[in-house]
Amino acid sequence: MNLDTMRRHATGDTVDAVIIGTGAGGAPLLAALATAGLKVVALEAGRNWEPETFPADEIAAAGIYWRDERLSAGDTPQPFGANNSGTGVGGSTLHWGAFCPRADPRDWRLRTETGQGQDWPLDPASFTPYYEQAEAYIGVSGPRAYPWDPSRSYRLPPVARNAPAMLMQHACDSLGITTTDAPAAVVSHRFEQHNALPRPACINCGYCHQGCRIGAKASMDVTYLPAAVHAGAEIRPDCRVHTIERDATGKITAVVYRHQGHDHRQRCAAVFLCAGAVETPRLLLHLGLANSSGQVGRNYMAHVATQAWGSFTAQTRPHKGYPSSLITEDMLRPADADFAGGYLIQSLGIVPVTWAEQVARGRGLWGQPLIDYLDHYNHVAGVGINGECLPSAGNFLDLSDETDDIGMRRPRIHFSYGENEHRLERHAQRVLTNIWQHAGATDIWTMRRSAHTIGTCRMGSSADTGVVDHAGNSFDIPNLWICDNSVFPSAMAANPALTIMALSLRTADAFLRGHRT
Amino acid sequence: MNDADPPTLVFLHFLGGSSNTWRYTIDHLPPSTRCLVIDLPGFGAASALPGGSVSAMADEVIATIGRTVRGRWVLVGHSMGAKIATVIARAAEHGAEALSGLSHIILLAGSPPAPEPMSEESRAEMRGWFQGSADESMAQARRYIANNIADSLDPSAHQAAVADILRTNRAAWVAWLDSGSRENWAARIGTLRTPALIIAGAADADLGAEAQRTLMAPHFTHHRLITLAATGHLIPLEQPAALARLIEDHADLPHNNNTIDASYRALIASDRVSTHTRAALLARTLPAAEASPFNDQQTRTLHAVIARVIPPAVAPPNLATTIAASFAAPRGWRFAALPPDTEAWSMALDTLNHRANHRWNTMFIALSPAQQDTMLTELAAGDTNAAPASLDASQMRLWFEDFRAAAVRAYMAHPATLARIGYSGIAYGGDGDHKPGFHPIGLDVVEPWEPKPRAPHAPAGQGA
Repeated sequence: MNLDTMRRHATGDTVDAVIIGTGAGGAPLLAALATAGLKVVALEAGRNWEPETFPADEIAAAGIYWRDERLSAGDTPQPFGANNSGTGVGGSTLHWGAFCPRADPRDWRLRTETGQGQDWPLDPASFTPYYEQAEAYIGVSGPRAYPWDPSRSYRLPPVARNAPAMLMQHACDSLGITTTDAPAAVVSHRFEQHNALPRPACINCGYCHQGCRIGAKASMDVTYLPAAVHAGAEIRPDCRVHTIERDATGKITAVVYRHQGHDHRQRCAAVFLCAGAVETPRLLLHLGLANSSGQVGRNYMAHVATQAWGSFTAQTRPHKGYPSSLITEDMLRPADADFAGGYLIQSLGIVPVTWAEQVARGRGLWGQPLIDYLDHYNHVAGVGINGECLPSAGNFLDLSDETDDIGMRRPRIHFSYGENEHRLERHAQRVLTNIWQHAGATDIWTMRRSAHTIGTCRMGSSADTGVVDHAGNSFDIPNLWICDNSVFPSAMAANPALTIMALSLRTADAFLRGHRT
Repeated sequence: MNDADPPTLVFLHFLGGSSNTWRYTIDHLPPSTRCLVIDLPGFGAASALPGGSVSAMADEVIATIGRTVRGRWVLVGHSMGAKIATVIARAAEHGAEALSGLSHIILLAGSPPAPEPMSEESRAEMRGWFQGSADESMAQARRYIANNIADSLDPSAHQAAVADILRTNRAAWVAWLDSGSRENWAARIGTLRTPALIIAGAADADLGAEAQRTLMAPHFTHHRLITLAATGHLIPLEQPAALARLIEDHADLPHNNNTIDASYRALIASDRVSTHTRAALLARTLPAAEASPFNDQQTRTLHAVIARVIPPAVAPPNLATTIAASFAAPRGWRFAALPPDTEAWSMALDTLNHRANHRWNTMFIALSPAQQDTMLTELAAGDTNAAPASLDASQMRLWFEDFRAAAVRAYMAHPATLARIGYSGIAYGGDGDHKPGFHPIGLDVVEPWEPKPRAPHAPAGQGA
C-alpha cells in the first residue's frame, strides 16, 4: 500500500499507542485510534507489498506467509506458514480466505450449554453491532436472507458460485441440508470506501490465498490501514519487536524493535499486542511479561478442518472463482452429535500446488498412482469443515531451545486432538462423504486437517483465570492490551478473522472510553 | 550442440555379450531416451565377422557413431567394451569430427587401457572353450556366467546371456583373449578430460574396485568411482535398475516428454499472464543451482527416492536438483520430532541405506524398484526398525511425508506439469488494468482459450 505521504513520528516522542501487528487485530484498532485523534504507530514485522506484484503462482507467493520456523509437536502437529500465518502490512489478511461467518451465539456459551469448553466473558448480543460495523466497512458479499439468522442481511450480492459450490448445493438439496451463498469479504460489485481507494469487483481468479491482486478481497492493506494512514497513523514495515520496557510501577514506557539490523526504541503510553496466537504469547514468554495467571501459552486451539475430495466427470476447474462460495450451518448442533459444539461446511475450490501437497501428505500417494491422480486436477472438487476445538491442558505453546536470527527462542506448539475433536472429525467424515456421494463423486477420500491459530492468552473474568479481561486489557500491566486470536477462550466454529476485527473495534472503544483507568 | 537436448547413449558390450546385454538397463531408463546399442564385430548380430584388434573394433564403432549420432552423446562401455570406449574417447578428445558431442563416459567393470589383469590359467581355460559338443559349450557358457556374477540372474536374462555367448564368433573370442586384452594402450590413452563414472562390482575378482582405482581411474581427470555391493562382473545383467539410475544421473538425461509444448509456451508468453507470474514459471525451466548439502551417496539415494515418488517418465528434467536446492527453504514450521531439515534429510537418506544394507545387503539405489517400494511402503506405515544413530520409525514416517510434499510441490509447480494437467489459472490476467479473470464459471464451463489436459489418462472421473 502507499505509505509515501503518511504522517511520521519521532521515536523520542511518546506516542499515545504502539500497535504491534497490522492484521485483523491491529488494523481496525489503528484506524479507530487514529480517527479519534491519537498519535499511533503500527510496527509490522513484514514488508509492505504492492498487490499488483502478487503472482498467479503458489510458490512465488510464499513471501506473504510467516516462514520463520515453528516447531509442531503433539499427536496432530499443525502446519503453519501458508496454512495460517501471514506477514507483511496487512498481516494474515493478505492470505486469508475471506470466508467470514459470524460466530453462532451458542458457541459463546459452550460451557453453560454442555459443561465442556469455556464461556466467553462477554455478551454475544452486545457484540453484534461490532460484527455489523466490521462487515459494513470491509464489504461482505452474501445472501439477502441468511437462513440461520433472520436478523442478518448482506448488503453486497453473493460472489459467483463455482463448480464445487454447484456440486455441493445439488447434493445438499437432495439430502435436505440447507445451503446458501457464503458470507465472503470479497466485493461482488465495485465498492466505494471512505478515506481509501475504491475496490473493483472480484474477477473469479481463485488466488485469494496468494494475495488478491486487484483489492476485491478485504485485506487490511486495502481497507482499515489506508483509512488509518489517512487519519494520521504511521505504519513502519520490517520492524520486529523484541523488547518491551517498563517503569518502576510496571507500566510500559517503550518498545524496542529491530529494523534493518539496528534496534530502535519507540516511547509510548500504551501497547497493543496484535501479533497472533503464536507470536503474541511467544513475545510475552520471551520477556516473562503479563503472566501472573500462568495462562500465557496455555490452551492452544486449532479448528478441526477435515476435507473430502472427489472426482467428477464434468470439468470443475477448481481454481476458478471464490474458493468457498457455498456454506451450510446445519451442522452447528447436529441431532446425532456425540460431541460438544459443531461445525460449518463449505464448498472447496483449490489451486494446484496446494492440492497436490495435500494429496501427497494427506492421501499418502506416491509414484504412478500419485501422478495419475494429480492428472485429474481439472475434475476434482472438495467440501470441508471448520469445527469446534475444546481448550485442553495438553495443548500449549512453549519456547524451544532453538533460536531465530534475532536471538529469540523458536516457539513449539503442542497440539493433539482430544476425544471431542476425534468424534467431531468422524461425524464430519461421514457427512462430507455422504454429500459427495450424492453429488456423484467417485474416488472420494477424506483428509485430516486443522486450521487457524487460537488461544494462548485467553480472556477471563479475573487475573487468576485470564491473561486479559473482556476488553483485551492485561490484568497485570495496565497499559498493555492484546487483540488477536490469542485472547479467544474457546475456538467457536466460525472462521476467526471477522470476530478478531470486531473484537478490535470493541477493544478500541474500551480504550477510548478510558476502560479501567 | 545444445546441452539441453537429450543425449544419445552409445552402449558397448562385454566379451560374449551383444546389443541385447543392455535391454534390461534400457527398460529402466526414461522411455524417451535415445539409445544406440552396438554389436561389436564377432558378437551378437555381427557374429558372422571374425572380430579383431582393439583399434579395429573402435574404428567400426566410430564409423557407426559418425553415421547415426547427432548432437550430444554419452558412451557406456562394459568390460571389453570399456577398453574400446577409452580408445574412442581418446579420438574424440583429439578432435575426430565424427565424435564431436561426446559429453560423458561410463565404464562398467572396465578392462583397462593397460593389459587386463587375468590369470594365465583362466585365460588358457577360456581359450579352450566352445570347440566341443553343444552340451559342453552350453555348460561352458553357464560356467562363464557363474564365474562372473555375485548371486544369480533373472532367468530370462540368464537365458539370453547364454544364447549370446553361444553365438559368439570363436575367432573374435580368441582374438580378445590372445591379443585384445593384452594390448597396452595406457600411454596412448594418457589422461582424458571427459567426465567419467567408473562402476565396479564388489564381488568382481579381477576387475573389481581395486583394479578400477589403480588401472582405470588414473586415466581420467574428472571421475567418480562407485562400487556396487553384492555385484560381480556382469553389472548390466546383475543390476540393471541401479545402473539405469546411475547412468541417468551421470549423463544428466533430460526427459524430453516433459518439455512444455508450444501452445502452453504461447499461453505463458501471452498478455493474460503477468510479468511476475511468467518470470516465476520460466525460472523453473532453467537448470537448478547445484547447491546441495548432501554427500555423493546421499545424493544418489535422494535421486532414487525421487524416482519412486515422481516417476522419471513424467519428472521435469531438473526435478532432483530443484528439490535438493529447495527442500530446506523456510516454510514456517517443521515437525518438532525431526531435527532441522538439512540434518533430518541427511540422516533419513543414510537410514534408508542402512536399512537396505541390513535387509538386502546392498545400497538403496541397487535395489529393484519393487524392493524400494516395499521399503517406502513400510516407511509410510511407520513400520521400520530403528537403527542406532539414525531416525526411528515414527521419524522416518514424518520425514517421508515431508519428502513427498517437497517432491510434489516441485513437480506440480513446474510449467511442464501445469501444461500436462491443462491448467489455466496462471492466465487470469496480465499487467494491464483490465484483468479478464474467469466469466462465467461453473460446472463444465470452459473458455475456448483454456489449455486442455495432455496427460494420457486424464480425465478418468465418473459419476455426476
